[in-house]
Amino acid sequence: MSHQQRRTNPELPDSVREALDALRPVPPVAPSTWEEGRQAFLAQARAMRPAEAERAVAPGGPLGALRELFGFSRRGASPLALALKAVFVLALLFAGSVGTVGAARASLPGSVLYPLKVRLEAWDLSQAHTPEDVARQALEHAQVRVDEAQRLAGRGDDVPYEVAQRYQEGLALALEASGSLDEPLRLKTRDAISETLRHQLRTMVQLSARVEGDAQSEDDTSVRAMIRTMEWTQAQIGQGGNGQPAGPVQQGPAGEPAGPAGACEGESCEDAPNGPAAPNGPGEPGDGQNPATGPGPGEGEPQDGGNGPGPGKPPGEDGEGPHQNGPDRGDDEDRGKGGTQGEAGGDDNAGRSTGRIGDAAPGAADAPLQGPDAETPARDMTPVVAGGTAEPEGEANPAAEPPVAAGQPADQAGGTLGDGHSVGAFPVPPAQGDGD
Amino acid sequence: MKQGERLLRLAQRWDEAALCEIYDTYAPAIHRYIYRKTGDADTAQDLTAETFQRFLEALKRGAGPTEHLSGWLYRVAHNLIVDHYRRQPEIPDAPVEGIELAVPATQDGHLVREDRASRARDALQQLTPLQQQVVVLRFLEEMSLDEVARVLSRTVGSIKALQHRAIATMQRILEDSCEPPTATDEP
Repeated sequence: MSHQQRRTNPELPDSVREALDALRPVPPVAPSTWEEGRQAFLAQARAMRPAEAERAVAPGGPLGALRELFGFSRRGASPLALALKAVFVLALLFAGSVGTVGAARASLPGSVLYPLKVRLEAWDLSQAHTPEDVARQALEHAQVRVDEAQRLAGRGDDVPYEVAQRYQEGLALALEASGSLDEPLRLKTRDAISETLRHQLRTMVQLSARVEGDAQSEDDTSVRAMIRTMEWTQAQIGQGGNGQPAGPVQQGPAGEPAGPAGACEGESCEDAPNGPAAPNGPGEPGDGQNPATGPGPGEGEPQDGGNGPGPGKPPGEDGEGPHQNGPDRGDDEDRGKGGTQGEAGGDDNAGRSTGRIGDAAPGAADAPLQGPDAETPARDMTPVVAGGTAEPEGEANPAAEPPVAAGQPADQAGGTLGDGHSVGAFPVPPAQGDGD
Repeated sequence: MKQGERLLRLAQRWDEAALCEIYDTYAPAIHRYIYRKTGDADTAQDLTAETFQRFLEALKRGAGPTEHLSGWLYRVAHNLIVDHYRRQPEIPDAPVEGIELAVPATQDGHLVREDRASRARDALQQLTPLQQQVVVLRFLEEMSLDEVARVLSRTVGSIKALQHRAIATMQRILEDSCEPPTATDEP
């Protein structure tokens, strides 16, 4: 008897112990015999397998293996097992959604997921219920645009015009939202915007230096457009710091828009060297919906073109007009002074609250109708742009000599963002002073 | 036990891998159990195969074990052994007795061991089926009282009682068979 047997049954009688010891040895079975027995057993199992089991058992292939792995069979499903499976499936879906959202958030223009990113940002804004939240969110989105421009330029891709457009929209919205805050909070928010702008401006100037050299490229134009937006917005915030609504968004009463026209603040726009950024729109006075100026500006303005966007005086007349030579410069005269971007919005801007750069181009709509140079007008409309600054005073019809055509870089000419994308409604009024 | 239950659930879905694992896990033990009770390798092999065939048939009917797979297999094996002896009632005793009488006491160790094993098997066969199972599982398969109780679906107390009676009966049978009735001192 084994030692263990004795230990577990010390009281086992000797006769019984000896008898059991005699029974203990079992002759070994050859492995081949076991194998034959197993195969016979499995053959019986296959032969006896019920039809139902045929269906229940996972067939070959990945799907069957997956079903078997997670026990997705109809037999033996307990409520707990079903609940666990449901949780697992939901977790998979959730993980997939989170992954997709994350990928979309990191996407760049041109990516399949970029439209989703835009929608997600719109959803973000819809979740902001206070002006402060809206301003913060919009500013974050503007920062995202800067990041996008950096990443695109960093990998050698063009920065699409869409980025500059969306950047301007975000900034305009941030300013607009901050304008509706109470004084202390408004100043605080504007300080934050200004601080952000400083950083962004530094970033974009560096970026511009990198992409410089191809003034005709969309890349360069978009970057410069963003820089101008930053500069102009900073200037507006500086003025708004005195309690005056600054941003392109906050416009004065009808007819006295801020926006690019802000450059005229404190002085008659008529006298302003740089007319309103508003280029020579097609003649349609602002409808108050110029993207650049946001919903505010120009509201209630007559639509008769009385107060055209154009500079106080037609550029062609006194040479002070901004650069913008709309195809119909002459109309600007009729629009009177105080032309603002809002006013200059033109038809294209109708119904938009946060104008888009390209769309806002006043001249864009008319361009095709204005003469031979169909493209140029649109470009020249860019109000913003250098607001005539870049153009020598007294230059006559810019329409005839679009900045670009004249050999000036579009950005310098302040007329366009290139490629027919007018910056017309750009809030960013042209840089001031050059022409003066 | 948990492994047995997991295999059983898979086998109920006719999972071939689980069936194969069940065979590999339990067939050797069932084979030993049958061999020790029959003393014949071929019979042990046949009855082992038949035990597992019964298992498949039970699964197909939707019957079979719901838990304690090993206990179910041992019970089936035991029933098959009983049936085996019922089918051949004359064969076990007469020849064995004949051989036993024919073998001189000076035979080699192998025959002596066979003789002891044969007498032990005879003694075992005279126990009740349940006592036989307790003795084999407890002292030959070296299961604990708890394990035997689970396999036989009994309480530990009833297993202890069965074990006690089985040992006493075997002792009496073995001692009676070794000594002439006239030399027995037992009351």
